[in-house]
Amino acid sequence: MHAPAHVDEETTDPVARVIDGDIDAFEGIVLEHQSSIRAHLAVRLRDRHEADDLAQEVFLTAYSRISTFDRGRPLRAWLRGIADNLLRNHLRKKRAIAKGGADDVMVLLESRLAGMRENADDEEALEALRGCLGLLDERARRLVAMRYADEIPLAKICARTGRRHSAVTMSLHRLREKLRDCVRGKLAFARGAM
Amino acid sequence: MNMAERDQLLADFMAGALSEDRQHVLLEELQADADFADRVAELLRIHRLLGLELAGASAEQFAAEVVHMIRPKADASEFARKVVARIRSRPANRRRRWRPMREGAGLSGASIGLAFAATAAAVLLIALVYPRTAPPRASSPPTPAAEVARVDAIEGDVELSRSDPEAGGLARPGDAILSGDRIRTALSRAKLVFGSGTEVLVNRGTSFSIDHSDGAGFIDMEAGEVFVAMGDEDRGFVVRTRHGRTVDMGTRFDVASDSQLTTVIVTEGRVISSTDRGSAEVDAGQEVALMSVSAPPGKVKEANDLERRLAWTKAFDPKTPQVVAKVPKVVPPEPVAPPKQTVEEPPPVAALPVEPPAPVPAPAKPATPPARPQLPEVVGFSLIDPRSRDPIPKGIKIPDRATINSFRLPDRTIIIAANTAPRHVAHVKFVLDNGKYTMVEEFFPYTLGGDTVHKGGGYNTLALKSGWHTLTATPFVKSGDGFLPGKALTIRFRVVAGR
Repeated sequence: MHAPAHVDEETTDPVARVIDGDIDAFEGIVLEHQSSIRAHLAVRLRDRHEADDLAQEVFLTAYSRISTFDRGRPLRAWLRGIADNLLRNHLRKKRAIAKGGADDVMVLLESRLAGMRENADDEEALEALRGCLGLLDERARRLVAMRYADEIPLAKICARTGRRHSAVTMSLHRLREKLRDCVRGKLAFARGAM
Repeated sequence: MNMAERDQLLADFMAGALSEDRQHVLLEELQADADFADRVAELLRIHRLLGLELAGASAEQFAAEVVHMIRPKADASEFARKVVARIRSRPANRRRRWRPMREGAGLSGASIGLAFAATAAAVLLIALVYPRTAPPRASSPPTPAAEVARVDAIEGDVELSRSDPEAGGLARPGDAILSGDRIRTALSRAKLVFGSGTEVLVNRGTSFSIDHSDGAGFIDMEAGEVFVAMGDEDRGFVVRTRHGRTVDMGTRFDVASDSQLTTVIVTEGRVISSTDRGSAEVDAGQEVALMSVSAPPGKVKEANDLERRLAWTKAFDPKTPQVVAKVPKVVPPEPVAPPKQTVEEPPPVAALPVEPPAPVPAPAKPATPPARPQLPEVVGFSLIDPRSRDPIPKGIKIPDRATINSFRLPDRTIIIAANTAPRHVAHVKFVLDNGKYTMVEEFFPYTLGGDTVHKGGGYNTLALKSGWHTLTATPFVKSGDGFLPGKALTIRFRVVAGR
């Protein structure tokens, strides 16, 4: 790593500034690219916290290797490459110990998700999802918030809403389908397919 | 399998409620139908993105955490050349950079090397800084090797305990505090001064141990509240609670903790509050809530009403360190006007037909707990007339250990409401008889069993068996994307039915 002896005030290239030891410039890089990397990993890992831990690892690795980055290439692709390498290693370790029926289903679905990579940018999907959430009615939004924002167990959601377990799980399923269709539509529109 | 059956299968799968047999059925369906598998994969993607979007750390929080993990590496690589210049050139509140503690971070060869370099640097730093630290008071007796602080002032009886039982007892001003000592205040307060000049004010109902083994102040707090004012030459001071840890970066800050929440308020400079799931930088005038070591810190927000919330720290005026402040009177919650209902006042404990739980010796709870006006609290329970349609129903207060004779109540129905301060909160969670019955009430009045009074309706009836019951109500307030619990209240009451 280069010594942070002097930060050239005139340098606007954030990578050059990071190489010169400007950690604030690296914070800017993290802010700019975190959504892409975190969404990419969150979609491919079962545990949200695990995904964020790995995303941190991506940026720590990038920082330690920033001097090897070819500045003629897009930074995002480089970060994505690091993420994919770390993800591969991570999954290799995890799969060695994960077994069971639900795991088989997940493995199959995750292989499908991996196959979608060429067609779907997870950051774009996340952006579209934000817009779609705003289209939900109040009741639906409250249910989604209880399940995902507040992470309230389903049994408690049932108690709070006075609805049966199967009714709540089916409502959530319908909402996910609605959001999926909405996201799909927004992405297609953004790509000029509609 | 038809569409409806597939939907039910998927709904249960996403809810994690699929039996092993049905998992195999789903697997077969996915393997047999590629379109269906793609559809489910897309749903899984939405499911996971929802988790990230709605419950994940903010971009700023994430970036700040990454940068905090990087900073020590950058510092370590330049440490030998720059440490002295940096300490002397920066203002006191910008001298330290601390990496938040995170479990599970693996040690690579490089990080081991960095750790070694950092350790060597720390030794150098101690050698540079520590000899310049002054004892708290010029008149203090010589400081023993293991002494880390002194009791500067006390208000009431403050327990000081250590492994040598003969050395413990009630603390007195001037007493030495050794590494490993435990301080406990019940209805008292204390002011401690560390060797480096750092002052720690201890509020009522506080219990913690002190460690100074690594050269920095460390308070391991079980419950209560401390206010830390760092000395100019002191290094990172750590206050750890069951919900996370807070590391000073040259500042004055307050940490208040109870069984459910730790609140960190910064009045000067900056601290880093962290859990296993993330960290937050808290600057002057801001506060953060830590709810669990396994949850990210709450959102950093502006701290309101600081003067009132930290008024207790004025009990120890630095100009009169021996001051013993008057204990402010506990202001009881506003009494609720009793309707014409019948509640027997609680009999003396000895006269109760059922033995009450044994009294807990030396309660750690303060008579006046740390003020947290921004968080709601349940201030009492009331019996409500079930026939009332008043949107703000009047009730009769139910004291702890009361006996309620349902036979004498209107409709022979027991309707219990939790009274909160403020009156309206996000919701109130009721737990009856240690979880045999739980419910969340979102609308005022907050009644056990629920009601539709807010829509002009009535009260739901919850059949309470005769005998003793324990009821806990916890108010919650909306905070960002989630909810913060306020101060809960628990009572025991007995239900009887007879003339």
